Amino acid sequence: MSNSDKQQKTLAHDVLAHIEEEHIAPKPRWHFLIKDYVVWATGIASLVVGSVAVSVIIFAAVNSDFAYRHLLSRGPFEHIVQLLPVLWIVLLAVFVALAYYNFKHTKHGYRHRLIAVVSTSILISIAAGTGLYAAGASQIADYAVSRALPFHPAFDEKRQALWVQPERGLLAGYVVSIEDSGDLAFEDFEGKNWNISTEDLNEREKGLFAHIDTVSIIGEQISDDEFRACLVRPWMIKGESPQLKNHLRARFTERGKRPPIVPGAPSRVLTDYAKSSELGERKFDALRIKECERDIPRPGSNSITD
Amino acid sequence: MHSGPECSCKNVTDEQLVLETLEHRDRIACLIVRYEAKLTRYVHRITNVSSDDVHDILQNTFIKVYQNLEGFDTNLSFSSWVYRIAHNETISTHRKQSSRPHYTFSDVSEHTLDRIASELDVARGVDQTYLEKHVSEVLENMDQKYRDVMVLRFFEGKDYREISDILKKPEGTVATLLNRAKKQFKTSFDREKYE
Repeated sequence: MSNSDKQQKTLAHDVLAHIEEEHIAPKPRWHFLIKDYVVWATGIASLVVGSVAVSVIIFAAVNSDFAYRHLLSRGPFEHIVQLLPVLWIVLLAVFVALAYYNFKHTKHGYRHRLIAVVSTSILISIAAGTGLYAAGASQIADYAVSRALPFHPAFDEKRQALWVQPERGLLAGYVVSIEDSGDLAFEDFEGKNWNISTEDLNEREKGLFAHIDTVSIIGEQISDDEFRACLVRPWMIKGESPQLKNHLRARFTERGKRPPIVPGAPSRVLTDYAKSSELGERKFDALRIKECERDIPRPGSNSITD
Repeated sequence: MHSGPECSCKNVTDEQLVLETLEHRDRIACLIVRYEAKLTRYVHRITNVSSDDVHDILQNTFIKVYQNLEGFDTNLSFSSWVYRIAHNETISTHRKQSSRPHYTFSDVSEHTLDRIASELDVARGVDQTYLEKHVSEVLENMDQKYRDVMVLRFFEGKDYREISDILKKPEGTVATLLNRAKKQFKTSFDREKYE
């Protein structure tokens, strides 16, 4: 017998002796199956959370009121910073990384490059996130997380805060009642009551109050509780969840409280509102805002350039 | 325990032996006999452990093989799987010892040398003895990640897919590493040649 044969027999003998002495047995098949399932399930869960994060980012982007940035903020950068859904962007990054980590730990995950895996998981998140946004899930998710994490205000709440700056000529909230004079008894989103003069509004804008009670107003603060409206717009929420709106309204009304999520205007009203202007909604709004800016001095605001 | 595993192991595939080992653990001896020499050379080439340590590494490797037989992925060749376990076990042992690596390339065959020289275009104007000495020196001084792919490609004769399965890296990454390894090798070899 050659030395090599002796060594081989020694190794085989040692391995088998060790297995026998230590009572080593093959791990059962279910051990590996469970490991596989856990890795896949965690990866898929990461993709789901990533998709929800994308849906909220889309929700924030389309409702960012970027066309009104010169009124709401001091500049585009400040506007983006104020409304940026930081938590969701961080969650997206974390869960894309987690999805990548889990995929790499599947049986053949190592065969795929980092860029391919990350790009694919981002594309899946974008596709699924767009669907979730369209279904209104983004608002529900953002709302639920804001209730669970006190440091994270819901996007709706941040946007409402931007629109309640009476000293800058901005107000948003609920029409409580319409007086005989045409003035409005109004409650802003922070719960403060106002008397709103509507004499500068056109007939189209006054007509809104017949259909909706939640509006944003551009105008001028006259006194501590008086405000002159120059332009009124429906409080619009794109990607809103009708189910959530109805559910919350019912629950809070039962308790005699106002719902924490402000419903947007019904889509029929928005369609009629847009159709009623020959110029189209955006151009019409821009023209009206220019008129209001010219008529109402607004300290610190820039002129409209777009 | 089988008295002469080498006799009853012929004409049986690795994958068949894996299944048989699950029924009769002694059958692992066939796999050990089949891979011990190859893995011993491989372990010596990627790290500087002693012969006793190689014995321990291989013993641990085959115990892990035995423990994880039910998890063996039949889409993978057994060869790639056992090389992967041996590679990881070697790296782990080497890290524990944290000593400076010194590698063994003294048993480089003429065929391997010819292959390296031909693929890397480094053989012009050098004789076989010079080639053998300097190929070993250059390989010993290469970065670990480059030496790993060079050893698997040129010394173990593995293709890209097998290297990918052993090192758990994408084939594209293996190709990139090998390309860079060849460049580093050629640069170092040429520098040695003219010094």
